[in-house]
Amino acid sequence: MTAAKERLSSGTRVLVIGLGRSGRSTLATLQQRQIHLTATDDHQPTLTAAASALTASDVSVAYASQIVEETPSYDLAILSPGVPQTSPIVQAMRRANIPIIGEIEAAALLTKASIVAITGTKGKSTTTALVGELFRTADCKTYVGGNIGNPLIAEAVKAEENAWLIAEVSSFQLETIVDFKPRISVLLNLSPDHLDRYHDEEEYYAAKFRIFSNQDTNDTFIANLDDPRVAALTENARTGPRCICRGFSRYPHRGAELFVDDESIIWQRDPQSRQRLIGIDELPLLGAHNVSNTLAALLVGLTAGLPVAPLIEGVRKFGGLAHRLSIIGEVNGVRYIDDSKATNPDSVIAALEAFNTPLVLIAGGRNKGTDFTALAGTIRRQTRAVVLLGESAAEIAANLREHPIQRAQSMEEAVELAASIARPGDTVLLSPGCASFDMFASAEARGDAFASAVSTRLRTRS
Amino acid sequence: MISTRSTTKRRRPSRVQRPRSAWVAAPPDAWLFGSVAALIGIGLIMIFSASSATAARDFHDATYYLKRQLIWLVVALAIGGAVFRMEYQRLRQIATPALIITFVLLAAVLIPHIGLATNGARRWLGTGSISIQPSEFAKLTLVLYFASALSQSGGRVRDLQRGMLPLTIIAGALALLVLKEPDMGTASLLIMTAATMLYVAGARLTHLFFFALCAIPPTALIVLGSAYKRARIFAFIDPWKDPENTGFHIVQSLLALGSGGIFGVGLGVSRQKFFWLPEPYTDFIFSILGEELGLIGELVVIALFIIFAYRAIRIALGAHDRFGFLLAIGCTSLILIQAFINIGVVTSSWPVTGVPLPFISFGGSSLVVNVAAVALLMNIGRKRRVA
Repeated sequence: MTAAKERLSSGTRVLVIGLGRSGRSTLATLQQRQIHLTATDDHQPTLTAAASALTASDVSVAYASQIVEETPSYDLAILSPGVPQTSPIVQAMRRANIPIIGEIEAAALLTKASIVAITGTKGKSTTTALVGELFRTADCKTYVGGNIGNPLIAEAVKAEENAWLIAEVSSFQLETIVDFKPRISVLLNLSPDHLDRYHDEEEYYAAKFRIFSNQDTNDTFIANLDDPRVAALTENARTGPRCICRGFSRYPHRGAELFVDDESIIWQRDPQSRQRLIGIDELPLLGAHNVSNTLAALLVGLTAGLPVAPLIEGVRKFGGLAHRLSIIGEVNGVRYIDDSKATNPDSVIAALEAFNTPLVLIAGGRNKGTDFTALAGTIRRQTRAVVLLGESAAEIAANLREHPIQRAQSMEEAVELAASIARPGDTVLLSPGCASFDMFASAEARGDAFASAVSTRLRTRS
Repeated sequence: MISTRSTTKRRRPSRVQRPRSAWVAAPPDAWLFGSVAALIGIGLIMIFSASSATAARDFHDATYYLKRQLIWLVVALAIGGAVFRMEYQRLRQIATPALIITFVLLAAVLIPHIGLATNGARRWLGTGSISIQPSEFAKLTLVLYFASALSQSGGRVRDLQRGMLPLTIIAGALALLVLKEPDMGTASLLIMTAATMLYVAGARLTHLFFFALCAIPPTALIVLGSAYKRARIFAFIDPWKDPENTGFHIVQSLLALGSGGIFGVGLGVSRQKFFWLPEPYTDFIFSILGEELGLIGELVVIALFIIFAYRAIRIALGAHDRFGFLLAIGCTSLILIQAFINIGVVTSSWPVTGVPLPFISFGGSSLVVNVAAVALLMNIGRKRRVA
């Protein structure tokens, strides 16, 4: 039993830092275990809201600044991923020699299940959801959590002995792991991200590499061999994983055991056996990045020793996540696709490249400080026209120069304009490349507005 | 009808399955690296010792050959570093183009005014001080092409028409072009490496024997065609029959080895290098080593080659995929067969064919190719199969 685990048993004093979704879920889980809990946050409204919700139970609430001033005496601190390592409260815990763990570490300590941990810069959520679907289809007891929505800790305590706990883990969450040891870890890809929190790319990658830092030869690391950084990691005995590596690739010649050849996914577990699993055209998820996500999820299933048939069935029936290239419907031969969760230009580029039909793109919103020049090139190449919406409309338009552009004031108008430009066989794609907060409450709300505008058209036409 | 076959035999799936294609990251092979570094170090010392007399006479600079070899070593290390870091699976895509380019270069060497002639043989391409030997690069492209073809064909190597025959024709054509230079040493090395790779890949022994038989008449024609060649090649049987002419090299080599005895005459004290043994820093460097460092020195070099062989074969057997396995086997046999032939010739136990001693003999192209082969082996060794 590790030191941290002893500190999570009944009678101990635990401080939960950060009362976002993860922190609240941690409190709710630990409340049932006779642990003396203190909750803290440096955002006053959050704390007040939490305090009123928690008064009935055995949880004390304190301001972060208050705790920093007093001499803290806790057995353990559990840190939410949103709180940076540099914040005063974390520093105070360090000074007082109080061990700090993250929510996923706590989840790993409390669970009896085998853990599959999935990380990467892009595609984490889709892959995690797909892995969950595949394991459920293969009749495994499956619990899915982490960054994806429901906090991992709530799922972790529910999971029984033979179950699988499928966790989407972000680099923020990986920063605080100490003994977190997944049975299977997946690294989908690496590209610069969150540079507001990390000094440089290398520091961000180093956080990602922690996913396999505790894995040994009983565990497996699944690598995307198409990503040169990930591939190099699997042959580096110094910085790479010390566990078994297995690889997938969208090309047949990278030495991967699961790869795409002749438009089909092939599983070659040894030189003699070559098994065709499914055709690329049968995959319900669109786009090359989703082929990689599917390969990753399949290899997780194969590594867990699941039979091939349910894995293929699971891939076939997986509908994808809402607002990520989800098909809304077809009106007059024009397909409408909602990719509202594409809130940065890179995601829009990936979406645009997923289609080989002419496209009408609906884009725009609140710019998060990114540059649109790379996106403009792809838009000119892949789209018939663009309908622009929201605050960044002018900025995107400036980058597009001669390309046909329409401006819309509302989502209904945008769909109307897009429909008038599109010809039968075309696709209308909502992939904003910007945040939604200038016009909508969230990316989900924006996607829902798009879907309702499309369904209005559906009803009026039929 | 009652089936007698039992159905109770069931495979129990382990919780986490490991297929053959799984691997672990392995640290760079220090033994392989160390043995090759030691051989190259010994080589530099011996090149300086063996060439200083000739260099001083011809260029008024005793370190002329040493300096050139050091420059080539820098080139070899740069290329080796790149080869070590690359994704070796990608080499499969350049296997066919590399083979075609090699054929073109080997043909170009034979054309007068393009190929440079030294000592009556056309082996080099280039101008003046910078020249390359396409036959050296033919070794690597042959290994690469064979590894690529044999790993893709699966069981096809056991099929005469689709597996064995095309590969044998390619190896034969390469060897024939090299033989025309004439460079019998490299030609025989190419054939022996090709045969090793075919054997390891699972070719039928009957096929291999059949092709060996087919190769005898043309080889005999070439080797026995001229009385001079025949005499030179077979001089190793009784070199003292004609010590002034055909047996000259071997006799001088044996004199060097003999005077070295067990402990040698001492580093730098060789007498044979003073113009008795022509070009003592190339193919016959091992005899100067034997003269100066004695049997002990020779055994150290042979021990280093044995360490190299052990680690290289270990890497091949642990290779992550079949392509890597065959590539590693090819690189290993390339170097070991050369070492075997060279030491055999110098000690008068093998027909006289000019093959340099890997890592030790003077020669830029040879050093670059051998270091590249080692870098490739170390690259393959970074991913070790676990099943």
